[in-house]
Amino acid sequence: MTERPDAALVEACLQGDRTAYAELVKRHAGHAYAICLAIVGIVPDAQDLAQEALVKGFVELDSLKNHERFGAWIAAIAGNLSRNFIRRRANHERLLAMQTDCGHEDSDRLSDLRRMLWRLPENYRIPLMLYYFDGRTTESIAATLDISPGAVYTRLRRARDELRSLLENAEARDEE
Amino acid sequence: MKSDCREMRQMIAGSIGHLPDPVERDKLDKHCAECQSCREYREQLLKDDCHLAELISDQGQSLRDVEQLTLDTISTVTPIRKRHGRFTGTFSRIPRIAAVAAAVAMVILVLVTIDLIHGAFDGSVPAFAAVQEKMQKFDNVVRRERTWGLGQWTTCVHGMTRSWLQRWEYNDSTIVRDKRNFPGERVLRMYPAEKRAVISETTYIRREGHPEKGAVNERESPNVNRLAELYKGKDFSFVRKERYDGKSTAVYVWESGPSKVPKWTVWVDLHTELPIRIEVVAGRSGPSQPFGLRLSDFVAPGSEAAGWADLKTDEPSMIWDDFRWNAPVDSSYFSLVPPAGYSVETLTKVWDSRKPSRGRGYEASTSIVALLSSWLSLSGNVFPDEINDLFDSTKFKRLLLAKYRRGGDPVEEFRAAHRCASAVQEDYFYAIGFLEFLKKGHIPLHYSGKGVSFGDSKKIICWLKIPENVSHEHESFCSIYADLHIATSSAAPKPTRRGSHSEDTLQ
Repeated sequence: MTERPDAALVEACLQGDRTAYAELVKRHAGHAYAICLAIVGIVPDAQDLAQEALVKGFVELDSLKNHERFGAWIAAIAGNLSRNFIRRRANHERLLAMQTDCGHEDSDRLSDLRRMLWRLPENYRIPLMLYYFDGRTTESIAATLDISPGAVYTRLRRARDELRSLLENAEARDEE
Repeated sequence: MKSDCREMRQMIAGSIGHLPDPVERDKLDKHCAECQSCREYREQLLKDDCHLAELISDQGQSLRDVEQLTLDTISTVTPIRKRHGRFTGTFSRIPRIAAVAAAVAMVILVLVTIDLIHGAFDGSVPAFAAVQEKMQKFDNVVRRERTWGLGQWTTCVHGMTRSWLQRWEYNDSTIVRDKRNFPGERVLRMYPAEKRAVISETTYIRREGHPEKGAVNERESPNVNRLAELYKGKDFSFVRKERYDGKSTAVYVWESGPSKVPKWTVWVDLHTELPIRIEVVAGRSGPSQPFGLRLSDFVAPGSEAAGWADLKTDEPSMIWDDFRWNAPVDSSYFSLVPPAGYSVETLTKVWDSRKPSRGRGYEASTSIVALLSSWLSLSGNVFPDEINDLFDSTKFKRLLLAKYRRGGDPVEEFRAAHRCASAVQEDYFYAIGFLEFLKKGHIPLHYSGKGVSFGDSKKIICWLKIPENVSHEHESFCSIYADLHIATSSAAPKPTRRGSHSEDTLQ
């Protein structure tokens, strides 16, 4: 069966079809969550914020002018909510440090990677997380972030390069 | 790094997850075959790619939760509908300020209507007893628990099952407790940063025909039920409906007596009829202060205590939220098996209630030994001058300040002293209980510890006699030695030689 495009789902939802919005949630929840997680770094908070963004999208759907751009619109809401959340939270840095330093029983390797990931600038971190959340397609990341596929490619390249140099610096410090 | 290496590295970073065109790939392969550094860089990036994918794949369950919670929420939310074009036309013909006022009025009207619609769809507010009854039907519940104490918030994820398993997940450690063999228990403490685990096993051996006091009641009240029972005996009143976390909720409150503290507030989701948030206002500015220790004892006059957040008396000091009823956790979540690769330390303790009691005199002596042991650890192995000092909280406070107030970070010093004092206070209260018993029985406690060196196994520092009218014991004299061992005898210990040490008596 062919997938209904986002615009058709938004139209159906505005006509009162809640199942259409459920379809949009399934399609875009990953993006919203990845963006929130990339910004706030704490799983429960990212979950709350992604949920809040998706519910806000539902409540304010009629303010979306270009129905085809639902994904980018939800991503912008998720990003704004997350940034506001960080501004409100004075002790965010402390919590983030606690979250990234421990609380996960993964290997040292993953633990280092997790820590360094949050040291990347936000404009590198978000595309990188979306890339892995999204089954590695740059086109839909471009649509979500409302930038060109070329820009996504460049940011991913720089993100990987930056991440590698952060990891190498950390390894060098460990060896000293 | 050579300039062509720099160019190649850009190409390598861009090639991850993409198929570079054949010319580019040949160029890359050729360069990497010759340049070890770029070859290693390429291998590392491919490894990073796998690790990142692995890291993100952990988030699958969290994402599913987001989807499910969103779908649950939107089933109860009404979207703001599109306004019709004719209103736009009407607004365009009236002055701008009037249009703004009309728009504001319209928004208020819409909000009120939405609220009314919610109210209509929410149905009736359930009785709190019905909520409790519903909670008791679940096999497990996982929630976030935030507790304020000593100027900071501590957060953990707390899970509990109907079958006596509990798990607390803190930032630096995880604790799993199994009380299925109550009153025996098994506790696993895991410290991921150190890859270390400690297993504490307590076994109770019961006397036949003598079940442990409270065991039956406890057994009939599994953890999940007990969560519901926290509210039993409290007359929760419905106070209002409220939108909370995107959900329609009914808010119930219980306040204790005229002081109205402690105060419990419970938000119940009207869709699921289950609590989604609980707040407890303890009604005091902080935890109790063992031995009267205060932060001000550590902060120099005129300076600030950085890193300390005060809580107002009407603010909650405990918040439970993010409830997940029947959370889809697998068996490993409540497993008491330490993860592979952890160093494991096992501590075992056996309480054998078949052993006959050694009498109140002996128990009093063990409680004094425990308190003396705390005193010695604080004083640097110097026994108290008088036995009364051991039961004087101001003397303990002085020792705590001497040990912990070192001119460093006052908040951290206070927290360390508080933690120590809380532990010592348990022994202190226990010993005070026995002190009352001795006083009521007019049983003198003879003490001669002043100036005695700790560790002398021949030197008696304290002894007491339990008269027969209080206890029918054969060995009615209990003596505590300077190495803190206890010996019983049927005859009184030899009196302390006058002139060397004085003996004081607590009566």
